[in-house]
Amino acid sequence: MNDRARTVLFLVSAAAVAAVLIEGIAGLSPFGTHQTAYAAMLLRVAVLERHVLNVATAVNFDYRGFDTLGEEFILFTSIAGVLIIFSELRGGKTLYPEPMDGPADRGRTAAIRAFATGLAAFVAAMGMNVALHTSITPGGGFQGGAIFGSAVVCIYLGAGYAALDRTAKKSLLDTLEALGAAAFALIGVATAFLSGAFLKNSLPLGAAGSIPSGGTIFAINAAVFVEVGCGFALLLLLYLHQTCKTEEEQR
Amino acid sequence: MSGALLYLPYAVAVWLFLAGAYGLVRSRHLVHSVLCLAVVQSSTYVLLLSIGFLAKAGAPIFNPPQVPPGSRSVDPVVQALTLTDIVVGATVTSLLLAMTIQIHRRKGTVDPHHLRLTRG
Repeated sequence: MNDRARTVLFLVSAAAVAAVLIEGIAGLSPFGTHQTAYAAMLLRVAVLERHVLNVATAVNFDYRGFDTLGEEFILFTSIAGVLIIFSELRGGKTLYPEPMDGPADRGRTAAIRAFATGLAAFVAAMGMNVALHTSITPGGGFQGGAIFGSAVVCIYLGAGYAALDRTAKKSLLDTLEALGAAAFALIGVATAFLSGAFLKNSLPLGAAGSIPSGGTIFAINAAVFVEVGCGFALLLLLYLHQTCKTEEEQR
Repeated sequence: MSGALLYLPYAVAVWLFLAGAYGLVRSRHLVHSVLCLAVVQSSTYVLLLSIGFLAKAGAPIFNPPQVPPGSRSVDPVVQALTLTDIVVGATVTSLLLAMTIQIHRRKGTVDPHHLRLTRG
């Protein structure tokens, strides 16, 4: 199909889709004027029932925890897919990172290296901090994990791939990521045995406003942090690994 | 705010969806296609968050005694959905980009017009 025919076909079908979507949004309440009964109910009961002040956290890891488990496995499967594609692509060949005095490393002084290492440690600690405060601030395992993973980029920018390859171990990250995903599912299985319902909150809730509050919410949050943090770090490593060259490419 | 303006955020979501789809149809580069898909996906964030918005309300995070539990807040359900959506979207994008790299190594092109149906 040529470009012109394709565009015409798109415009015709887009007009139809747009008509349906516009009809749909015309049936919504005007912006900012309506709250669903479900949201209103959760806002009323979440703090009393689950002892967490961040209601979005309570929804994520408890009231709609089963949905989040599904999303977790989409994440897990995607990362596994990247791992498989990249290992199949150049598997079996020996790969060499750019040498330390290669073009990418020129201009990196000892001060820059030291700063980048410090920054990586700070970013990793920041990620853990954001994840830890899930029940009382807008933090959580997803956000904290994404921050944690970006520590990899700090090391890469400041010290180069060769240094990164020595510090961050792919096999360790891969294992931890899988354990994080498994922990989430196993918490569900354990609660099913303890209380008769999958993912039912059945740990002591703690005091509302304290960091370890919310029972299973806190445990699931930790599992999600490990999975997302290690998963993002692994993804970045896998992509940066593609900058390595085989012996023939190096020549 | 009045009249049509009260529906503007929803209209933005529709616009993002259609603009992203247009980009997908006209794409001549797979990386561009992946980014267009990300634009399509971002329409879901805008739609979810604008449905959850409530005028003169705070974040659904209480901080007693200044913000006691039960204060007027925006919808926490759509926020939780958007949160996981963004993180999952990022990893799915990375999978698609990895596929793009694989296609480039195998076929030497990333222009969808030059890719024929792959034979098994």
